[in-house]
Amino acid sequence: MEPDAALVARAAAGDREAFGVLVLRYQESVRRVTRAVTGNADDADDAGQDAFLSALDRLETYDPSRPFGPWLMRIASNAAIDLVRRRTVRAAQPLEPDTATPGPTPATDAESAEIRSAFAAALAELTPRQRAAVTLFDVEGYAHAEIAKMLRVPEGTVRSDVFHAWRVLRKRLRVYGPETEE
Amino acid sequence: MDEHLKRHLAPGDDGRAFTEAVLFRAAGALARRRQAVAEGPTWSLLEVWARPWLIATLLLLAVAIAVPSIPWGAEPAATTDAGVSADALLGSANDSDVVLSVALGN
Repeated sequence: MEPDAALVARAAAGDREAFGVLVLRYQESVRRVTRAVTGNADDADDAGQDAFLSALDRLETYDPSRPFGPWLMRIASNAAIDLVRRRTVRAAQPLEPDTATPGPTPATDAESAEIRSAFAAALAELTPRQRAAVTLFDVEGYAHAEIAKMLRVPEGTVRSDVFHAWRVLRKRLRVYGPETEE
Repeated sequence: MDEHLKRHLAPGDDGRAFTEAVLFRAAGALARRRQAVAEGPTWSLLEVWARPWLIATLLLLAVAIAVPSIPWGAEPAATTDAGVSADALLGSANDSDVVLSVALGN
């Protein structure tokens, strides 16, 4: 697998294939974060695309000695938060169960529609930054300090955002049993 | 809960359509980058690097021009009260200094 730094160098020279590999490699993480922040599948993909285009514009500012993922996630989180701010009039709708998890898998079959809508409702209760923080921490596995840099907030704020998000998610999902409470 | 959240947020496709959409939108920017590479290096990087040095050089030149024109030291005070200062100096000087200065003056 070609390292990210090499792909970035090729993409900076206009190599479409290299940029495509980078997009394909990171699209899932980027889209999960933008979905969490926007709460809307279409807006999430718009923000995700904007993030990749913005990253392409700023490739010269990327330091190849550092990992590419956090650098990109910073752009993606901010793109999603900005999009939510711009669309305050058009209130973000919770992810519809069908668009959130299309494609039947054993896991999604087992998961009840109630749990999915509870997740959507819980996420809708959070601010865009809290949604970004909890997704980057729990789903993408970044550390508080890394998320703080991505979201340009103090580390304590990230810890507080994640804690608050957990509390809301647990409260919303408590009725569905201990499996979802961890 | 993490797994539930991950599943809830999963796009649910292989990402190829999304990638194609990004590449379609990025076509212009990528073409401009290819063109820039084909045209060879530009001076922009040099300009960016040289700008602080250029500013520093201009400042140094300005200082170098301004410094000789500044009236340094206590010359104005000496001219306004030249008689008193000369007398005081002469009075305070040793005889040997006066003799030496006279000898040198001659």
